[in-house]
Amino acid sequence: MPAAATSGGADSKVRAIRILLFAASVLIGCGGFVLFLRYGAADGLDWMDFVRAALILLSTFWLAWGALQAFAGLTTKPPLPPRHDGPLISRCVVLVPVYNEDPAATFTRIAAMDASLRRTGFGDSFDIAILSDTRDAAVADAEKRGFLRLLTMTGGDGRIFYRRRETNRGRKAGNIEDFITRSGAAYDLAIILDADSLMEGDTMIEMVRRMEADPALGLLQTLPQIVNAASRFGRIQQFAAAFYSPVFCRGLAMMQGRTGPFWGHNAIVRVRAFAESCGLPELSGKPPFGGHILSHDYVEAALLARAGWSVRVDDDLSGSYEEGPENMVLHAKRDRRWCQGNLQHSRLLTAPGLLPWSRFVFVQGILAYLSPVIWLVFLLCSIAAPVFAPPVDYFPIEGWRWPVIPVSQASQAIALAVCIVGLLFLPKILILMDASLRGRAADFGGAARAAGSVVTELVFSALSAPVFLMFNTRSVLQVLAGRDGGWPAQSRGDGVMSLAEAWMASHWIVISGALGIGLSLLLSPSLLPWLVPVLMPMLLSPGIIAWSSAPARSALFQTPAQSALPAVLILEQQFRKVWQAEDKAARITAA
Amino acid sequence: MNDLSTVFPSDPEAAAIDNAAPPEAPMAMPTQTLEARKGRFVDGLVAALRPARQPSRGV
Repeated sequence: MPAAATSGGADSKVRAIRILLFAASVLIGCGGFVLFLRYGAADGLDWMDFVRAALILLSTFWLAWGALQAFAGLTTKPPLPPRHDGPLISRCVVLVPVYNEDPAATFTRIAAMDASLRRTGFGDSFDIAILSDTRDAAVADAEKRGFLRLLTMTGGDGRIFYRRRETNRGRKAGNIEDFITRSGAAYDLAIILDADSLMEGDTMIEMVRRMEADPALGLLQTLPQIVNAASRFGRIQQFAAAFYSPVFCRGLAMMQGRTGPFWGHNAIVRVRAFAESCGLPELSGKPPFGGHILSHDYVEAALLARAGWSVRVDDDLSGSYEEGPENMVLHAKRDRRWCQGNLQHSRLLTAPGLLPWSRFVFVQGILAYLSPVIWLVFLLCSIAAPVFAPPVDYFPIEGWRWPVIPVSQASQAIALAVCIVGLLFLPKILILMDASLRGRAADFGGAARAAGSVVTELVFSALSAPVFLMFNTRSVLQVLAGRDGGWPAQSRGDGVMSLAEAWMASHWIVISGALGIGLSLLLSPSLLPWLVPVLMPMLLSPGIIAWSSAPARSALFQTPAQSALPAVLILEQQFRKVWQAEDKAARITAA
Repeated sequence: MNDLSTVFPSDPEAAAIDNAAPPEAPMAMPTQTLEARKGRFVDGLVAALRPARQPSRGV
């Protein structure tokens, strides 16, 4: 049995942190509940007040849970995990699943990683396998030709493999499973990547060392940094991922203990553990809740933990990269898939044998997508509340002939709003202060520029949040209505959107915002000033989407990967130039 | 029958792709049980409260 299983799941320290953070979040949620009821009690409590207070409880709990993760992450440094410095003894394969991707982009990344691995002197311990699920015949043809160029470029014959599946059974998880059932016994470890992943050779070696040093470790996840972002939106996301995520991830790692996460890529797995534990079934019924498990990674992490293997995220591992969506619409499309995958996990909450924390992780994923819907329902209830409120009783005391004017409890509402904004903004401000004090901000252009980036990011978050709230709500409603999002290929590229394109994607949000203003004016005009921060961004959503998709030219949002370009990115650029030059030469010859 | 492979050599690109397949080294990957049996809703709910299954195999 894996050694981790003998420890009985979470150790006492991890359990104490979980209980403390959960209790604090519940307490903060209850605080929001009480504040709202006191506000609502000003003109007499009715059932709508209780509904809204319950919604506030849920939302505030969820916000507090996220914020406390960051606070926890700020309290400690990453622990030193077991590792060794001897020669590598494992055979490792780097898996690159592709699905209708641009071969030039994917294969130059692979060439860069291969070169980076060979520079370490341990390249002979690694193979690379490109696992194609591509359905588009033209792309498949380009993949084959591209693969031959890749072999010529790298001299990788015999250690870089390519195969294309006839069917897409099980999608990405099925693609990996197909590889393991055919070739898994040839390897001890597998690094699972995405088509847009990049990893330094040194990082891969370090991951292997850590896996070899801990035989109970079934999966080791890295925290990938976003690179190559060009648009304003992409740069903001890239900055946020580099600046905030390590702290949130530290907090997450503290809570998760050996029941850590798997995010589907930029992670290493023990092949035998994965094969024994992670064969995914098709769920009964039709999509979106039945059929293939869409967000397979969370489930695979839960299954590894169920079988007694450790799953860990090492937030100190650098040199792990991915690309992100370049505009808000692409982000929302990706979120549509993740939304369906997370809501599908509701089917697995009672799966036999899962550790309680794994079930809680599923609940967290579901709440992440339901939380914006809860906020929207709260806003709608607040607009409609006057319709359901009983008339104010100005003579509540029998026999007293002077009217009693209800005392406004607006101060309670303001206190609640301040608390909620604080939960949203305070973690990021504390992370900025921590980065400035510890010198981490130097990698982000210095303390002043990092502060400018954080403030601008906060403003953009406030403007984009209502737009994402609407996209998120639509996704949830589509899934609940039984609409399957399918398996669209990832859209990559510069992502620039004109105002007309942004209007096409978001006109329904503008209409919803206008309806919100109309309803508010009609039913509860006094509420309008409170709703402006939500409704105005909705009205302006095409402008926000188009503006944020334009190329970024600001000096803000600098990241460490921009300050000093990582070696594997330099390699990728060099291979990309060679690839493009060969393309150009081939076109001239053909002409 | 005459061997015509030397007269009509095969497509070298196609041969290279054929040789590019990962090694043949099968490994079993059993399908896991994730759904409680139909009609056992209470069992499913109770399963969430049961202690984790302890695997019986060695590392």
